[in-house]
Amino acid sequence: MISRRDFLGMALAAGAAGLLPTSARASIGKVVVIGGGVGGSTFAKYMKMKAPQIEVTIIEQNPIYIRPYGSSEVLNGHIQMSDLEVNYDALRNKYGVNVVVDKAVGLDADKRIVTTASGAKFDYDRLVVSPGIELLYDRLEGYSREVAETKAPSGWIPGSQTALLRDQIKNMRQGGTFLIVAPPNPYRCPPGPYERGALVAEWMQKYNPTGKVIITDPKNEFVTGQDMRLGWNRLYGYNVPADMREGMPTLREHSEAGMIDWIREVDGGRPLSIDANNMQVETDQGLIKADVINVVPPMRAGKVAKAFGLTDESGWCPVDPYTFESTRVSNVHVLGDSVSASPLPKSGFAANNEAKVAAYAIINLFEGRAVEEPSWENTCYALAGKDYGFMVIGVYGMRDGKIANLPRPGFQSLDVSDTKHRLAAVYQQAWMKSFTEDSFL
Amino acid sequence: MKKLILSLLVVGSFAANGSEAVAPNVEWSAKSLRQALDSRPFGDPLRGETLNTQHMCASCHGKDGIAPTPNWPSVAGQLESYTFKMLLDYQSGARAEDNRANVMTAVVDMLSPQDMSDLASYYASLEAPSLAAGKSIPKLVTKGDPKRLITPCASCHGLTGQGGIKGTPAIAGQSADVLKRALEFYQSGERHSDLYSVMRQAAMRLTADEIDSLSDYYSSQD
Amino acid sequence: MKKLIALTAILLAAPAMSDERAEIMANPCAACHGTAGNVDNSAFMPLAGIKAEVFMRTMKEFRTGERDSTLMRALALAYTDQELEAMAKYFESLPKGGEK
Repeated sequence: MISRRDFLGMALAAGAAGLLPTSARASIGKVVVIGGGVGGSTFAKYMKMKAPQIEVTIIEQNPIYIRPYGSSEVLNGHIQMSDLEVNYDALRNKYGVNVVVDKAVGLDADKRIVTTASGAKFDYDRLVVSPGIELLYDRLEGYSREVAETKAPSGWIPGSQTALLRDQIKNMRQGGTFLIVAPPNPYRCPPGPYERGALVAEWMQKYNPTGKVIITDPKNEFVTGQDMRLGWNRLYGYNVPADMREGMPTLREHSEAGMIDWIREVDGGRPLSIDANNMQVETDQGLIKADVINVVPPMRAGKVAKAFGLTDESGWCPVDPYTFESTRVSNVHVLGDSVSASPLPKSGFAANNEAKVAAYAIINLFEGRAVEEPSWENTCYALAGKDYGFMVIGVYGMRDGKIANLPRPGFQSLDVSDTKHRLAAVYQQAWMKSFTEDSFL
Repeated sequence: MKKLILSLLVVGSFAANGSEAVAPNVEWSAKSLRQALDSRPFGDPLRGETLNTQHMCASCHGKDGIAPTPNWPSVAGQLESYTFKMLLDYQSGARAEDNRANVMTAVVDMLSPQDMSDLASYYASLEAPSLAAGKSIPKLVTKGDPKRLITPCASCHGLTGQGGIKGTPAIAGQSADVLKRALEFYQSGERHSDLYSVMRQAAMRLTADEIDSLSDYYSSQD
Repeated sequence: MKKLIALTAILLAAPAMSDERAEIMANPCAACHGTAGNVDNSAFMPLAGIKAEVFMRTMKEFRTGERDSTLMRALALAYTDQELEAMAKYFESLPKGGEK
């Protein structure tokens, strides 16, 4: 079903592109993509697969992509930093994408030209901006990029901070405390901070059994909360708070404090300031001293999104769900974490999916056709331990002009067998490989 | 859990991010295999049926041992000792040729020798799939190729792939993909838990076309 | 308004799902099952060339739980038979890649 809006969109596109008969599949259209992460790369690949005659250029400031999904597995030594690296060879050689290592610094939206730091100019018919996130280090008193890079790493954009955090955890004194400062909503990778806490707790059970993991939180819940807390309860001696037990299967009662502790907002978990010199964090409920502090600060759309006028007051980018075209700047589309497209989450999976929707939509716009009704999923596996997995499952479609979580008959997924958790953990590994292949290779 | 006699240690983690697991390059010997099979606990097929569901084996291998999709092998009617050996191979990492094998390693890690024997016993009790009738028989099946030292497939697996000769498995009615994959992994040596390298020897000098034709012949496909 | 009614009438009479829409609905699957249904050396199975009838039967079995799964049941529950049929047709049409 195409809406009236689609029809108008089509008319606009036909007007912009010149009325082209659909049989004349001429080489029309030049697309420039800013950002070679999951969103940008998947977009470029699928665009070239579907319409190879369209010229696609990615402008990416890093010569190599370091994947954030699964990066917590560096912290427990399951993988190396180099395992996070993905190169652009396939995009260049297999799909014919022009990948330029440069930084986009200027946009002339009327003339449709992007300028880069090296002084190059890239003209476009459609621009796709997929810049990920900007970490707002300074929003937390006492925290800064400098502190993150030297003393209390974030690693929410992976790189040297991830390696630093890994080393700090490895070198932590016996009986030390690893503290994660969780972020406020919305943020990249909703289960991420809690999965990280779990994986480090698992590692510490073996290598630092008298140590402790604390997650202090400005929130009272998170995606996969029940699954994760059940895993913590079974694996790390965590006691689920009384007011969160409803709907949960039989829980173990632990008489002693476990390896992992989660301080919710209601219990005073909201972080107020970071004191990396004295290695402590002040929260609503008091001071938490720690040996290793991992801060996930508030965040917003990647810097270039704001610079190009794509963000609104929230700091994220509003878009048309049919095409992911910015509602603020014409002919510019936004993908991935930067986007405000609730209920689509800020996940790699969603970025990959949005990229495909946008690619197909833009091809239709170029060819003067109506845009098809989009469809999305978000199916991610997450871990509470190396052998204990579960998943996030969302299926989305358009309802009344808005993206909606499609209702479906409920089914019990919380209390499953050990085998299922084990398999989910296997699938999590498999998914990271196939997902990377689908996005980049 | 009592580990059966296999002169190797499992080294390294199973596959992460697509890298192959470090499978120890240790071979079965006739003696070690005989010992392993001799010490197999007596299998209870009824218990095996429960385990098949409980451990999600059925999801890939079918409730009745016939794989629901052609990506996975059927296990129905398989030689009890062979299934047991396969599970041991996965558990020890002797079979770790690809990420599919590593899925098996992860699941089998949770099984005791009794569990494995019960499952093997259950599968053995099920009706084996058969190869589609009326297919022309490739020469390699009946005659092998003496020049390349390839014994006829039928001499161990049977003309109709029913196996059971010298402890070799039934192969009839698997999907062509599954059979092809097995031959290719034996050919490359990535699969190397076959006693005396018999399958590696057999597959070594097969051409790609021959692998296709043999896989097609023994498969369930027409 | 008349144009909109006429348009709606045309659209309601039109076939319910285009090939492209089927493809758009199938695209998320690639994250596990591979681009164009080809994934190799994976715990997940490739879907390229899968018989539509096998795809449908499998998804229905996932949906009822007759075939156990980790997350496939949730996905099978989310799509209608018509949508699944369109996706089945799409996957069947995809060429199988060279795989081990």
